[in-house]
Amino acid sequence: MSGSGSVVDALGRASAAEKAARRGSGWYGRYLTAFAAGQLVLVPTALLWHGPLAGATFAVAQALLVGALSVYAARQRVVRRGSGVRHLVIVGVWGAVFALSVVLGTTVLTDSPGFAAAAALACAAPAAVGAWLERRSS
Amino acid sequence: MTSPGSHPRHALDPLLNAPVRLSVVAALAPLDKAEFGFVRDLVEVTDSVLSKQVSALEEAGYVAVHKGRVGRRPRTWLSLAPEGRAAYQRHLAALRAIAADWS
Repeated sequence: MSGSGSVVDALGRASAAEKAARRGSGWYGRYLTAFAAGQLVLVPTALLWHGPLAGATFAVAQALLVGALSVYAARQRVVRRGSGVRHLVIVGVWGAVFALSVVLGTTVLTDSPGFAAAAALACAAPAAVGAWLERRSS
Repeated sequence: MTSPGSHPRHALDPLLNAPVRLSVVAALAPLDKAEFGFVRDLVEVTDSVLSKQVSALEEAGYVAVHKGRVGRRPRTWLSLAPEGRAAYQRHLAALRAIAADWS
């Protein structure tokens, strides 16, 4: 380090590299947004449409969504620090909310469009909040 | 009187004084891991230059290199080791202290 200019340059270079790396890991926010959007359609389908065809349609649609998102994630070149733990928390909360929605929606609140809409929002919320946090930290 | 070695420049990491190495470590700092090609494009160097600088960082224990595959495509992943993260934080703190001394 030969002078104040080189110190400022080094700090600027480090900051720019960190910012660019964070921008490159923005794919995870898009992943979560797509998952949240999928829940807005899939959860009401699961709660309001009954029968074997409905069950099969839901299972295939959910598998396609998760499969497509998994392929998208596997193709990425960057993984944000701490995103593994964050992903486990989001999936865990989503799983608990989805299970509760299905139990309530098939027992005490059967065929209730209001509950289906609320459940869809609740199931989309963990991923939507995760996407918002990702965007905020980029 | 200032005691010898108390100036913040003594806390600078000689390995991170090289601009490319500093950029590589800075790029890896907010990430769990990044593909070799991503870092190469971000730092704007050739494969051979990055390979040489990464080898120096790996030798110092600052960067870990993992080879893997996605489908048929081989991939080389780079990640910042705990020692590298600590060295980068110390280096940044020293740079900020020097800048503060001058301002």
